Amino acid sequence: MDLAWTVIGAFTYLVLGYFFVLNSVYLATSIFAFGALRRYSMRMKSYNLDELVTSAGAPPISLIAPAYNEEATCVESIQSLLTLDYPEYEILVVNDGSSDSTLDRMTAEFNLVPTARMAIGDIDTAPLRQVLRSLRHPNLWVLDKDNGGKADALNLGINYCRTPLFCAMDSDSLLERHALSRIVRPFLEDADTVAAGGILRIANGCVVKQGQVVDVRLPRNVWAQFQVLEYLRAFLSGRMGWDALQATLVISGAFGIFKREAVVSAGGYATDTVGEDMELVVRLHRTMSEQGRPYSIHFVPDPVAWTECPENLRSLSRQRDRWQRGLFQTLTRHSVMLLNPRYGRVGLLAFPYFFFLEMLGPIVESLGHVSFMAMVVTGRVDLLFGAAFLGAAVVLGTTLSISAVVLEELSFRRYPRISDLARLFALAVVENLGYRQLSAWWRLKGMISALKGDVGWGAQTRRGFTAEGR
Amino acid sequence: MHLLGLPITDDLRSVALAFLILVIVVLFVLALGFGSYALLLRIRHDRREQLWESLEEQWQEPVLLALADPEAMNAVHETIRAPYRLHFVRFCVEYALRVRGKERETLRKLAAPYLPPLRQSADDADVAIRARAIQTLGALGLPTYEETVVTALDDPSPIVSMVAARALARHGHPLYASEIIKRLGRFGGWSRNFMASILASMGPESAPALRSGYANAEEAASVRTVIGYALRLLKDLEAADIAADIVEREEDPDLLASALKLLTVVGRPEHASVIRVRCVSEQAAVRSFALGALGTVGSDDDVPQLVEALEDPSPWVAMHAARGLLAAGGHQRLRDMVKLDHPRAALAEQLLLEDGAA
Repeated sequence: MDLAWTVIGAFTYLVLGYFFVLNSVYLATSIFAFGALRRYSMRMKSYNLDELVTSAGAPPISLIAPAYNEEATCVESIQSLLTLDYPEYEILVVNDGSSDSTLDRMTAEFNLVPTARMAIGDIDTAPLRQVLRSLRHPNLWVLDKDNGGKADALNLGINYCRTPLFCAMDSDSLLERHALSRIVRPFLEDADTVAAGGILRIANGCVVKQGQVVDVRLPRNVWAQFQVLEYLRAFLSGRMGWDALQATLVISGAFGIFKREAVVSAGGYATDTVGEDMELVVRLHRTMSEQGRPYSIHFVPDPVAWTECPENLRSLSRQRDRWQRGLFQTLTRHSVMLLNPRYGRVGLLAFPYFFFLEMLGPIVESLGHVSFMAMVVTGRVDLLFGAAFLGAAVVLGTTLSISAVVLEELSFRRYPRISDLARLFALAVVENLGYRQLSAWWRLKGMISALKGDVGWGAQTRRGFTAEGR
Repeated sequence: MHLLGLPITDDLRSVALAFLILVIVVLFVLALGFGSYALLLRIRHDRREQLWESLEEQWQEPVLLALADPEAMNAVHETIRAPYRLHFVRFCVEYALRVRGKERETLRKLAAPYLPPLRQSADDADVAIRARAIQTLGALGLPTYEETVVTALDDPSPIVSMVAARALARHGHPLYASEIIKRLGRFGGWSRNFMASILASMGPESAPALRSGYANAEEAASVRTVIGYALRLLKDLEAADIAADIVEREEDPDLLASALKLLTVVGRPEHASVIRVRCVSEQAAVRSFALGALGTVGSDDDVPQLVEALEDPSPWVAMHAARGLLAAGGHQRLRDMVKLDHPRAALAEQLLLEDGAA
């Protein structure tokens, strides 16, 4: 029995070590992000990007937006795409066999008629039913196909894409007017760029008119509020920091831009994973490194896609479960990259971080909680020390979240009211008292589902954007 | 005594506890510091915005009057207080980037007395300060600060050199074109189309310098490729013979592509013979652009070759061939393909629809 407790005790120290390493990485990426955001802001002041892009040779872009049962948001989203401030782009909405009125709503709103268009690529996809084109907006096309999932829909879009760059996005996201001219910057500055991702922000609570967010507000729903802070941390501290280290491993499926040729030569999106966005980026890293081709993948912090986040525990838990499964599927599929110097910083830094800390983290954390509680109950923990440790964890979590708010203030200041700032500070404290633990639990469930081989997406409900805010 | 399941001495326990408490205090202070910093940033930013708005409001009317009537320039200077001189320069830059000709000249004169401090900033150790100084001097200080801006083309920072190139291109003096072309190799990392657009933005006056670079076989193929794209944007008719020469002699696929694209815009019937040779190139990209060019500069005799290329295994080649066919007036051939359910009927129908000739 004593041996068992010794093992549990030793495991608890392992959890402490994990906690220390994880937070050190968070701290390090925040510091790198601080420098990178400062440099980015100064650079944006040094040259007028919009003038640069609109007057110079902005490469034409195809926006590929898969839509599956998006009747609540598809019209607003397409309207936002039609008002983008970019010289040359076309919109390919891929209706992925929706069973609701998505196609009817789009047809009525945008005056769609059947037309002809030849596929340029030959990635295998579910069959195409028809190609429709808007009589009102010549750059709007709808590819109507049998249901095959998001990755399959994106692959069909790539087959019909005839521009050197394509932008993969969710049809329920709203792009800001300047989003394309900002996200295309890495492709102008570095000819070796094969992919770039923008930032995702939470649209819940914001006032949306004609497909554009006109008043940024924090949502009233508490779960959505937590996600606002989470997204700030993930994008401004996390992705910006990893980008500064030139080891971007994730580009959100809701808004990323890719060199078509690179994606096609890597085989397009994988249709057998729920994390097709991360899988593609990891595969691009792998393929390009193995082929010895110079390449770079970037995160750009100011092109914004606004997205509607889940507002109830059930949807949120399903989303996190799916994200964790996607992470597991991607990292195990490309495990050859783990700690492999052949893949440079990605193999030696980013991949191990995601593998050991993000993928295995929920298991370590959950077992840590259990062993810690067992030791508390059996009197094997010095209570004062335990309380002090919990206190340190809360203060550390709060500090990291507040540092993400500082990064937001240093750079983009999207939440204009002082009261929003105060609420974000309060959330930074409160989220440590339940939300983070819940999040760890959902991720653990995701790991279990992944180990069981579950590949389903789970139903998603959309409430739609609003002109009043919510 | 147990700390976390494992036995521990009293002394060690005290040390561990003290360390943890110290960590909490430090983190707490850090969190408070971050929070206060965020608030300070917000307040400072709001104040700056207010100041900037009030200054803009103050300057807008007199500057607009001066743009309409340069005699009114003195009235503008009277509104600029010493601490806000650089703010005024920034105000002028924002206007200057949107206007040309006489209006830009007026803005240049308005800003001129306040530019000398920026000459020093152009040598600052901080890249962002250098870039901003060059942007400002480039927008408002040419040709007075020409030497500073041209020197910045060789700045170790690629951003500063690009800002300098943009500024010189915007000014459009033919001499600046040669300076940029000389250093095009420095911008190798930037997108070719983007660089070509910058060169083309200098206007037709820069064409002789571009042609000279394009014809120079000693120049790197990547540089000549960019120049070829710029000449295409300028629709420079005199560059057609150089492009034909490149199509005949060179083998670099990017350079060939740029020359063939240029010929699509400015080529003449006598160039068709060199283009035809490339229509059967093993490289799909070269084949594509050659077929596109042949459609524009070729004759009726070339139509069968274009029709045949519609069945090329590469859909890109087929698309360029179809476009070539449209350019050669082969609409009826495409209509027939649609009627006869040709394997490329969808392509034919699509292009006819796009051409408005279905």
